[in-house]
Amino acid sequence: MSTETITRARLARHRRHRKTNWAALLLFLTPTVVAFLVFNYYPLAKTVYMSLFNWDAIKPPGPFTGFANYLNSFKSPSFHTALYNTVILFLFSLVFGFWVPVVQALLLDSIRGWAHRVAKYLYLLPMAIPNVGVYLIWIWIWHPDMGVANAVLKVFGIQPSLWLMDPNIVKMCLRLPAFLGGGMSVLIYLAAIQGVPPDQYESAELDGAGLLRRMWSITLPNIWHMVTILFILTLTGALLAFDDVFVMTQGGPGESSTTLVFGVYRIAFNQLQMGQGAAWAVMILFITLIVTSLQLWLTREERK
Amino acid sequence: MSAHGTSVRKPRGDYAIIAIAVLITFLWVLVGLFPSIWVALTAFKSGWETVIFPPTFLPRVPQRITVTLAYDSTTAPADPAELLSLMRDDAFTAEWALFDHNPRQPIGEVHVQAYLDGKLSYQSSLLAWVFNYGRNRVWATSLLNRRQIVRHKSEIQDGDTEAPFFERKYAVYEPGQGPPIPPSVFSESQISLDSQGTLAELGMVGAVHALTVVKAPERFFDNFVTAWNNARKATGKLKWGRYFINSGVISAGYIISQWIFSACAAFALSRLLGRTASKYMTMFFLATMMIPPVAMVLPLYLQMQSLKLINTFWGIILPAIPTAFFIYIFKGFFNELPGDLFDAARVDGGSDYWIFRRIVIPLSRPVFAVVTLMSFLNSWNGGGGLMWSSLVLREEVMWPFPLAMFWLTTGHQGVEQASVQGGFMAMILMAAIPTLVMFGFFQNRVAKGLVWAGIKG
Repeated sequence: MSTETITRARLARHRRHRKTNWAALLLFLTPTVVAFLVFNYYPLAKTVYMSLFNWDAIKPPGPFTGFANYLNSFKSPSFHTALYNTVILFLFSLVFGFWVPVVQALLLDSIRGWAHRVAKYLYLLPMAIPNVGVYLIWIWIWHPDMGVANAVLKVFGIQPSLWLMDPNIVKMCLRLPAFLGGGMSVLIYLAAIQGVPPDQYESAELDGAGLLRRMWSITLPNIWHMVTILFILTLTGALLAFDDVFVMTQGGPGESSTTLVFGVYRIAFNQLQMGQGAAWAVMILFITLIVTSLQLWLTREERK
Repeated sequence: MSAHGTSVRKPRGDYAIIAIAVLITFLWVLVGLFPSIWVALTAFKSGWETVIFPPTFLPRVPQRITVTLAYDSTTAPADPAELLSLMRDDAFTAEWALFDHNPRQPIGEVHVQAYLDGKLSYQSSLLAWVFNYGRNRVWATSLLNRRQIVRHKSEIQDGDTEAPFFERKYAVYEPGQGPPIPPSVFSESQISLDSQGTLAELGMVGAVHALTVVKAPERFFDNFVTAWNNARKATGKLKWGRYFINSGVISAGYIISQWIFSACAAFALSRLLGRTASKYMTMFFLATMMIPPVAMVLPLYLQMQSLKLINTFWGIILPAIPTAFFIYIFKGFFNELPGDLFDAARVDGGSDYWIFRRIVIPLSRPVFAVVTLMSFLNSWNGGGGLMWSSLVLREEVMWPFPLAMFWLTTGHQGVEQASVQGGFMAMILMAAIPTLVMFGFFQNRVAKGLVWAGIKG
C-alpha cells in the first residue's frame, strides 16, 4: 500500500478511537463554565429567590412574602407607568430609529465609488464619541434656554418648548436622536444587502426592472430575515433602556420617562426595597424571554 | 453585488434615482454629523459664548485686553507693601469687572499693568478659563459692584484650596526699575468702549491710562486645559488623565479576560468536545445572552459587596467575563480551521494544550484582532455600563471617564455648567481620540468578525 493510504487509515482509526482528554477539557472549559455559573446563572436564580421575600439588606433574607411583591406590582401605578413608558419608548424607537439604518444602507448601496466610501466613513465617524458624551450633547441640544433645538424653532418663529422638562414630550426627545442613524447597523445592513446573490438582479434587469423596482422586489425580501432580527433587537433594546434615561432625565420629570429597568434601579437602590426590585426584574426577564423566543421561532426556517 | 446590476447602460430613470440617493445620503450624513461638528466647534468657544442665545455657530477668536493703570506718588501710599497691595486690589477689580461685564465677548485673557510715576511697578495676567473655572467654585455671581468685590476679594484672591490654580501670573518690579509707561491708547473696539465705562465706575485708585484689545488665537485651546483640570481633587496631579487611566485599566482587564476565557472555552467547544456535548455546552453559554442584565444586577451587587470588591476594578471586570458573544465568534473561527491539521497533530502525539498553543493561536491573529477591537469598544465607551459602574465605583478616584463625564457635568446645576460646557465638549473630543485610533487600525477586520459571527456571508 502507498504511504498515503497507510496514513489515511491511521487517521481514521485515530479519529474513531480517540479518547476524550479529560485533563485538557477541564483546563479549557472549567474556568469559563465557573464564570458563567457564578456571574450569570447564580445571580439569575438569586434574583428570583429574592423576589419572594421582603428582602432585608441588613439581615438577609428577611420575611418570606411569596408572590406579594408581584401582586404589589400589578396593583402599583408606578409599575403601570413604567410599563406604559417602556412601550411608548419602544414605539418611538420604531418610528424614529428602526427603519433609518435600513434606508440609509439601501441608499448607500445605490451609490458607487468615492461617494460611497466617503459616505460610509462619515456615517461611522460619530461612533467614536462615547455614549455618555452623546447623551450629554443631546441634553444641551434640548436645553430650553440655551439649546440649539429652541434656536432652530426661533428661526421659524415657533414658540420655544421645554423639551426634556415637558412630561408630554420627554419620551419623544429621548428617541428622536435615533433619526440620525449611522453607526454599526448601517454596516450590518449594507453587508446583508451586498450578500444578495447577483443572478436574481440579472434576471430582473433582463426583464426590464428599473433600480427602484429591483430594490423593492429583490433586495428587500432577501434582507427580510436581517430586518426581523434587528426588529427584535430594537424591541429588547427598548425594553432594557437605561443609560439614556439615567443620563438625560433620571426618570423625570416626575415619572414620565421612567422605564421598567430604571424603575428597578430606583426601587432597589434608591428606595432599598430589593425584594420588590427583584420582582420587577423577574417580570422584565419574563417579557424578554417571550420576545427572544419569538425571535427564535421566527428564524427557525433559516436554521433548518 | 448590489441592486445596480451589471449592465453598463441603465434605463434613464435609474440615473435620476441614483442622483436623488446621493443627495439624500449626503443630507442625512450631515444631519448625523451635526452633533459631532457642534461638539468640535463648541470645544473651542470661550465661556459665555456657549450659553448666549441664540448660540453662535463658529467660535470667535479670543481677545486679550490690556489695561494700563497709572499711579502717582502724590496720591499713592508710600509704603511699598501697601502700594503693592493696592495695585493688586485694583488689578483684581479690573480683571473681575472686565470678565464679568462683557459676557457676550470672547475674552481670553486680561492683562493689567500698573505704572508708578511712569515706571512699571506691577503686572498680572489672568486667563479666562482660570477665572471662569475658579469663579464658579468660589461664588456663583451676578453682576458685581465695587462693594461686593471689596467684600469678597480676599476669599477669592487668597485662594480657595479647592481651586488652587485660581491664581494669575504676576510680576513685581523695584520702584523706578521697570520699563516706562507706553502712550495712552484706547482700542477702537466695542469691548474697549464698554470697558472704559465699567472701569470708571469702580473707583480704582489708579487711573485708566490705556486699554488695548488684541486677538489672541493661542487661547483657543484653553477649554482643553479647563477640561483636563476639571477633575476632582482626589485625582491629584493626574487630573483628568486619571479617569482615562481607570478606563484603560478596565478595558485592558476585560480584553485580556476575553482572550483567556472566551478563546479557551471556544476551543473546547470546537475541537475538544464531541458533537452533542458541544451543542449542549454552546447552548449553556449562549442562553445567557437572553438574560437581561437587570435580572442579575441585585445579587451581583450583593456578591461584590460580600467579596469586598466594591470600589475595585475587579468588581467591574469579573462580572463582565461571561460574554457569550465572543465565545460564539471564536468558535466560528476555530470551526473554520482545517480538521486535518488537528488530526495530524494528534496522531503525532501532540497534546491538546500543545495544539492550542502552538498551532491554533498563531493562526488566530485575525479573530483575536476582531475580538480585541470589539471588546475595547464595549468597555472603553461604556466603562462597564453606567448603572453598574456607578454602583460599584463609588470613590471619585476610581471613576472611568464616562462616569466622570456624567457626574462632573449633570451633577452640577446652573452657573458652573455655563463655563464648563466648552470644557466638557473638549472632554468629549479627547475621549473620542482613542476610539478613532482603534477604528483606523481595525476597520477592515470588523467585516471579517461579522462573517465569523454568522451574520454576513
